Amino acid sequence: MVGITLILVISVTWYLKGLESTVTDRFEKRRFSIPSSVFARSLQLFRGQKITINQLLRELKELGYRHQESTKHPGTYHRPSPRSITLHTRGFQFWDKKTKPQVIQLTFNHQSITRLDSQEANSVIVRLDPLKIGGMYPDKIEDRLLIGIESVPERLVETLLLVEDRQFHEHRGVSFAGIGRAFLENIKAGRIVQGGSTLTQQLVKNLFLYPEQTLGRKIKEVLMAGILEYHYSKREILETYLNQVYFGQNGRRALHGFGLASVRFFDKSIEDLEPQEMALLVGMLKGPAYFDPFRHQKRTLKRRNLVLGLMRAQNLLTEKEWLLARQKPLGTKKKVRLQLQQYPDYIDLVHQQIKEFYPEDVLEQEGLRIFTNMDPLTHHNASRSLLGFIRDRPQAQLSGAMIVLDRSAGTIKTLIGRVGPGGSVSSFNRALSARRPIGSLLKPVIYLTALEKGFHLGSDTFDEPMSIPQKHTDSPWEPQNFDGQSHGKVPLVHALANSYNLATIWLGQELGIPSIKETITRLGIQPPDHNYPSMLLGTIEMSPLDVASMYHPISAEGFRIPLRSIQAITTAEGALIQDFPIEMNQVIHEKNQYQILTAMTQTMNHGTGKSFYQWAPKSFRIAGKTGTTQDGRDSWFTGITEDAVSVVWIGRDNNAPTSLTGATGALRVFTNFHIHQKLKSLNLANIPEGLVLSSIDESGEIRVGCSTQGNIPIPKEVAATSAHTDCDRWQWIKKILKL
Amino acid sequence: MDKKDSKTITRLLLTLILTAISSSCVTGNMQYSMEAQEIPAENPESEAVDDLILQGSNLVDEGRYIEASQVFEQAMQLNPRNGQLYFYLAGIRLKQGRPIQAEQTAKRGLRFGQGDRDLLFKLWVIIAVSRERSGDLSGSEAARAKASAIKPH
Repeated sequence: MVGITLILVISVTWYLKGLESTVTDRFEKRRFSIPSSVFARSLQLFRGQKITINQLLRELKELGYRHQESTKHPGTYHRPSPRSITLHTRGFQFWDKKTKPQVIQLTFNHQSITRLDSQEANSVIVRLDPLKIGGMYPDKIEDRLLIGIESVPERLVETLLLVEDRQFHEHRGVSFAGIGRAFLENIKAGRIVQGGSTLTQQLVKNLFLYPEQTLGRKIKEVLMAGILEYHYSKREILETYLNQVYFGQNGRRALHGFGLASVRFFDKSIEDLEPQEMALLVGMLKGPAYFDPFRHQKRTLKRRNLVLGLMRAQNLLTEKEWLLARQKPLGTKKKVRLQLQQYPDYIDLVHQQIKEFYPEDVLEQEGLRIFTNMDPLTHHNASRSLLGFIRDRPQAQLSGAMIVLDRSAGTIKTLIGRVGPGGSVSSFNRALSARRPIGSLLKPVIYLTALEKGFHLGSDTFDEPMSIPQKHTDSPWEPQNFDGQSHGKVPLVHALANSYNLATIWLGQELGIPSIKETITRLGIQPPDHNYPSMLLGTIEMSPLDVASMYHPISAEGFRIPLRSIQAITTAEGALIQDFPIEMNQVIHEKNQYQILTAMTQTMNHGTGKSFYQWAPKSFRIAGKTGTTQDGRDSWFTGITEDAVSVVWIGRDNNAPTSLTGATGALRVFTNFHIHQKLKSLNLANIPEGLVLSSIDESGEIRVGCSTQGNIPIPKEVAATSAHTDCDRWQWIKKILKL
Repeated sequence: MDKKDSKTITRLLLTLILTAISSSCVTGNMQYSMEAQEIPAENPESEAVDDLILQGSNLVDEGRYIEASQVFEQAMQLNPRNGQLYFYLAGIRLKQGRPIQAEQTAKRGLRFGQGDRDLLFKLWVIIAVSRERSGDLSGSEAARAKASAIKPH
């Protein structure tokens, strides 16, 4: 008998021990299980900053700043005149420092901030809190806006306890009085109608068990609730309950916690809830689907008023407050869209760049704070240009992608890739994952290889019909120019500007395909294994991000800089885990980089990109390249300005032909983007040593003389043997006067 | 001229020089404050860039290289043609024990140093030190020669 008792005691102890470790492990994990937050770059305000008052207002709106007469509280602004703003900024824990709220006055002209006044001394640059652009969510999508119990109004806590668990502060996890009451009710009804659960039990059920009620599960629930109460304080249990409790579904997403529910149903933070709103939220807990304020307004209103009555009876409301509150409508806001990801395209990119460092469960649970380089203002300009173009042509069923990089630092300011047919939103990110032939976008790489092999921009190329035997078929390859014409002997710079196919193939064959593949590799892209000559016309496939990556060194003084979406990552508490500093490695000699970049400005001035200047002044300098693949299947454009490298792709997901070329599709999108973004003109002032400026006419004759003579750089040694123009401006007067 | 006279003349000269210096200081200040009211059209971000350079330098002094690096990078995005920024950034990379990155950063800075002998000299010195630390002794020697050619002493 003693033996049996001993075995029983040991078994029960062992069982309870196991239960205890399950409860504490899971509770700790759930308490702090928050998806990582991803933030945009912080908007920096300073005198001279290129931003309009409307752009700032847009950012403030997105950040949830409120327009008020008084700017007493952080997160508010006032507009004393059309050209000025008084702003009370919020403080924020950045990865590198914590900023304090402050009041600033800003004055604008039509394009920038002309004055910044602050109470704080030395406030030359004011950092706004950054926009949260999304999070790293698990597959079973669930989200919570974590709140600390100190931010929850006392009245809400009292109401919750009043309705759900009056003995919360007295019991040790289980209320036998409650169970007894429920037992009687259930016998009366002949079925289970009441649970009699305490808040602690409800939390246990929510955290560890399935909703079905069986006797075995009930016993386990009671034991677990006891363990929870033994290990944690009432305050910790209540706080976790407030963050964990289920409020129903919002699309694919499960809504948990009072913090998120306040935003979802009333579009306000928990501190700002009015009595009838508190009553509604507490009332809903009995059955979030049954008391869904959108679907069952009548019964939900009744339930809310019942709770208000209880509040009044317990003096949580004055008579006046009660009368006022019960007359108010439900007041739930249907249009609050709790978008899981505000910028899912960019989040895809962040995820891609981060997943090699962090396992999924860390990203989904540890509440990391990921600070990115995403610029919402650039994003809006890019997005409206790309979507506008695609939506204007619904019959064409076009998809698109666009990337904008900072030229000097290689940070990714925006990446758009989920634009599906006709402008629909899709889950496939074309900017990252669509591999398409790049067409003529390969040409600058071929011409760069030529410069590295001793050619210069005035060197002859031969744009003549050709027939190239092919390995796997008897019929030879007979490529053609886009216009069907051939142009004979053409200087290299003009062949590139006009994107002549025949000249390019001639050049490519002179150089040899392996040497071009070597350049592609050096620019950071894996070239194909084969050496087909058709590669010279861009049959090589790349994603738009690959294209951006390949072009970036051409823009950045010849240095390859890994493109970065992330600035830094911190723990939930703000301790720095990892930073992503700029790294550079020279892959193109400065002379060749300068020559190819200048040659690409000729594409825009005189070649396939010249339609850009219908919308921009001639004085604006930009290097660019258009690309079109067979039957307009892909329309590409890459543009390099002083501040950015931009890549646009337009095509159809099923690879069907379109009526677009690079110039009539992608370049149009880019031009529109430039109009909104006001990109900066490319500065080509620092000519590397060993180059001189010249002009090259259509026949390829180089003229070297004074600087006004031309703007095409050629090596000094070539200049020495070229025709020199006498650029003495007064020569004709001297002639007349016979001096 | 006796000793007393020469002393008086010296004092007079000194006073004149001091007055000239102080008046030029005043003019300088006035010019500065006038400039401060108008944002330079050529490079409107210059004031912010100067502030970032100050912030970055302070962070370097505090040994906070990660933060300093990002501050200079931010300044670079505002004014990519300011060669000084590459010098500061290269200096940080050296302090972080990353000589190859220091050399590359300084080399990129050379592109923006045209006409600025001081800057070119400093960048070549950084390149020389970086190469030395990464074991490229002949490269270091060549960089030192470049620096000496810019400033023989």
